[in-house]
Amino acid sequence: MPDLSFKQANALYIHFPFCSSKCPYCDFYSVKYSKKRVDLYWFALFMELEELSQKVDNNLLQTIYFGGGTPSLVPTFYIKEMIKLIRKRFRVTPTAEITAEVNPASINEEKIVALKRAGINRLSVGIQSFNDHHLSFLGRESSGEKNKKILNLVNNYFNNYSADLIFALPNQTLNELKKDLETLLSFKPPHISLYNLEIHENTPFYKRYNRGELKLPAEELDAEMYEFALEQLTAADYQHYEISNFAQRAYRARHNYIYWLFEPYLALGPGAAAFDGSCRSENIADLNHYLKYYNPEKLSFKEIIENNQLLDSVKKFNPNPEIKIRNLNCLSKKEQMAEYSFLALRTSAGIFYHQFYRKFDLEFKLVYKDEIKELKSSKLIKEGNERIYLTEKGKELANEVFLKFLLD
Amino acid sequence: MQTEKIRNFCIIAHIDHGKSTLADRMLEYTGTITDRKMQEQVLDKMDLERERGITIKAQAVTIEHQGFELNLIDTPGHVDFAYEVSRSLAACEGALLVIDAAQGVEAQTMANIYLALEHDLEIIPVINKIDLPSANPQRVKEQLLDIGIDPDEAILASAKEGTNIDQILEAIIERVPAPHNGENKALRALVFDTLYDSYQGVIAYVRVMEGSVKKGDKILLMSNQKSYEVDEVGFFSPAMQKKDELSSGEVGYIISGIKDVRNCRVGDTITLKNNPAKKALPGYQKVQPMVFSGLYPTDNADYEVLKEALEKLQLNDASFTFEPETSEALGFGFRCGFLGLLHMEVIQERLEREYDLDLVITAPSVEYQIIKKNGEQLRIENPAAFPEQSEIDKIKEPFVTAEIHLPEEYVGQAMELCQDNRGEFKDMQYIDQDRVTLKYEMPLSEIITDFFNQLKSKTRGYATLDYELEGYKESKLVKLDILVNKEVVDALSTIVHDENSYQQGNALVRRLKEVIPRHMFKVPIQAAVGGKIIARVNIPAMRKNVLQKCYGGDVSRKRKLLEKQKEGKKRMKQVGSVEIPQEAFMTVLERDENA
Repeated sequence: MPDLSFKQANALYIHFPFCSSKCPYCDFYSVKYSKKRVDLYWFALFMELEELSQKVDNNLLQTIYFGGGTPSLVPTFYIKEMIKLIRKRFRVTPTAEITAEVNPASINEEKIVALKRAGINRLSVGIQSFNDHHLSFLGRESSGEKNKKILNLVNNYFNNYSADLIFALPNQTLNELKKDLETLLSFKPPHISLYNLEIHENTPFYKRYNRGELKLPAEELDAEMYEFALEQLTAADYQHYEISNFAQRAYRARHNYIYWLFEPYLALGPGAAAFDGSCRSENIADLNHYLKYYNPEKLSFKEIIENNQLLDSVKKFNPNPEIKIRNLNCLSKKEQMAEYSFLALRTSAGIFYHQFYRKFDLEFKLVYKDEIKELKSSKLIKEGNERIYLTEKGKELANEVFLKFLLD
Repeated sequence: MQTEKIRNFCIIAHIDHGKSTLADRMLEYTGTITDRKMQEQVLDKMDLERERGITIKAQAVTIEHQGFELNLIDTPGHVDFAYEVSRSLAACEGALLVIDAAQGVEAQTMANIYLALEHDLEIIPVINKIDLPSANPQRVKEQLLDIGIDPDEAILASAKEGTNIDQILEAIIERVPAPHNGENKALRALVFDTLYDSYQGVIAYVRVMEGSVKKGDKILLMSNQKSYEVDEVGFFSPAMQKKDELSSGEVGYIISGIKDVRNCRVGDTITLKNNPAKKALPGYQKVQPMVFSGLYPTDNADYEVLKEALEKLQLNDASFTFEPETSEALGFGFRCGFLGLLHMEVIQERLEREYDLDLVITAPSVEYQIIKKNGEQLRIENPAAFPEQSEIDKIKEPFVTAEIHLPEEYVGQAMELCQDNRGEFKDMQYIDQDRVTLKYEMPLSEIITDFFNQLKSKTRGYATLDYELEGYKESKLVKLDILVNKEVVDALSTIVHDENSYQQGNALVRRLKEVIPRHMFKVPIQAAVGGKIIARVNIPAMRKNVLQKCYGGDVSRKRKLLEKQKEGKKRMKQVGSVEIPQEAFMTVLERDENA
């Protein structure tokens, strides 16, 4: 079975595909939470981790990210053990950023503390809104009040955390966004992610959208909201370091940054995506399939740990080579250049000519000579010191810019 | 075969009444085609025909049954090809009139009956699909009585189930007259269809009226006086089968090295060079295209490919015409002439499918006769080529008589629709107690712009339409121009009636707004007549187009989306600084429900 070949990968993503309920806009893979299945799943994860550590020798991790799904549903015992094992199998820098996504609906003070004790040093809180009406539309099981309470608690225990906000909801007014933003800023979270509502295929919103039951606000309002948010956040001293991400000094999301730098990263779990610098892989997004491959004996992680059988089970682990566990997609040089370019342009730093040269052995200014000229004249990009980056207008019309970097 | 033992017949029917299934069943029953070789509806060779369930080219098959030679000529089933139908009928002595037992007599049934009567054919009514639960053969018999056909002659059958096929065959033998015996006369063979083969050249499908023809004979085509030597003659089984000689009364093919299908036209008479007939067979007509459209390659580099493709298509289709044309907006292309909308659609699909061409097709138009103030007379098919309004004295356009069959309850709406499309009421008759025939005189240009679809939708699909060219009449017409970003886009110009110009101008600009995407700048769309702006909308500039979430797993998907967007842009036509999608050029075809 073909596979990625990692020389060095500084980031590790771990998927937790369980939720208590599915939000109608989400297209990340998840199933209904069940304690028993989590237990089986965790064993499977460990096997994949073992497998992975054999492939990547002596790797140094700078970030670990528990995403989902709803990672905050996992009993912290599991998170603790996972971090322990990761540290055993990989070198982890002492200042590593270890993030867990949490859903305010299913978290409390106890859990927040427990997560911290388990080794998590950054939380990503899925607030989305403080408006009860919008929260209900989005299928979030929390309320505006609860969201505020949770943020308070998180604030007390974590120095480093992020909050998500979604805007451009159907029938949302600029005023409503203003309120949401004000409320969020009152907590002074070190990091904020701001997204407009996107309708993805294979989600309940997609079906409703196609039937004409869901109407997104006009481009003009979407843009107004975005511009307003940018103004407010910049005024509150947040650096707009990526199209949708804002951080106070020293609080940028390091894990995500690795994506935008087009650097390799590792991944575990069904539906999780990894990258080795030139090829991308995606684990098949099916829990049963994943369990069949990584935990065919249906072993309980808890029991294995409690009976100290981890080493034995690792030795016994013999995956069925007939089962395909992931899809591989290797990028041509042109495709790599395209991805590198549009990912880098998402960041405020933009594309550095010397970095492009180091990666591709080509002069960026020559390869994209015409495109740079065109984009500059339409005021979508600016040229800085040996780099180009998006203007404010360019950020809003980023897709038009990105198109230019696709080579035939 | 002696002429007394020959029967030449065709099958005529309204679309979907079961003509092809019946033909298949007859072939099966008589062992002409073995089960193994049966492909649903054998006679419809072209993929497109099979897909759409229609017959485009006539096909012929010789069936042997009880010592008789029954020649079945399958006729094109659409009003666009009326001339071909008439020539196929001229090759026969009888016609099976197939009527769907559930649907009853419909527009094309009537049209074909008239044609069959005109050609003096013995009509054998077959009431088909009696297997259907909704079948009502009694009602159909009553309809037959109403139109002067003896209902007792009708054979009840089910082609699908093979019921009473033997009765039909017997009826053909008993009732269809044998062809007249022209054995010792000079050769006159009617060409009722042609097929182009890259090796053999044009294959003429013929019915020998008088005389005989064999290999080695020098034949003469009477319409153009060109002569050729016969390489082969034969019949259809339905595959081509060589024969020594084709003689009076028989149906078959002649191959004689004719390279150009325009030299061997449907309806022409083939005779012998050394013993030519005195007069050609009657009814020959050079077919005229009625509907014209601009065909342009989306990518200018494909021009030669399109040209070659059109040349190849024309090899097999003498009624399809094309001429090079230039459009400011679209570049170099061709103005193509078709017999009708269906003909146009078929050609379009073949070009896109068989030649893998990406095409911009402008809305179909008719040919106008223009009389300028200085007396000059012009015939123009391309609206963009119209002279200035101020120079025009009169404009004449082609008119047709449209015959609509529909259930009585929809008559009001259908009449309204006809009136909205500049139709003039001519006649209304009851076919039976539920169904009516409406006759309206209408401009052909109204028929070809979405009229049929509107008719169908207003009558829940029950109406059928047939039309015939009447001639040219004067109308108050003007050229409606469309300006995109302040520039006239010649390919979007249409000819409209003066009274409708405001309405249609508005409808058109509004539709274009929906179809043309936002650009980085505001794009005004205007409609104008004689330089005066009569409608305007604005396409606002793009404000936001960004994927806000882009993390690990999103990247490849994002790149693929962008690649798709880029591909999409390529397929648009760049007109000035505006990108116009292909569909926009056809937008002029659609009608607003309210317009």
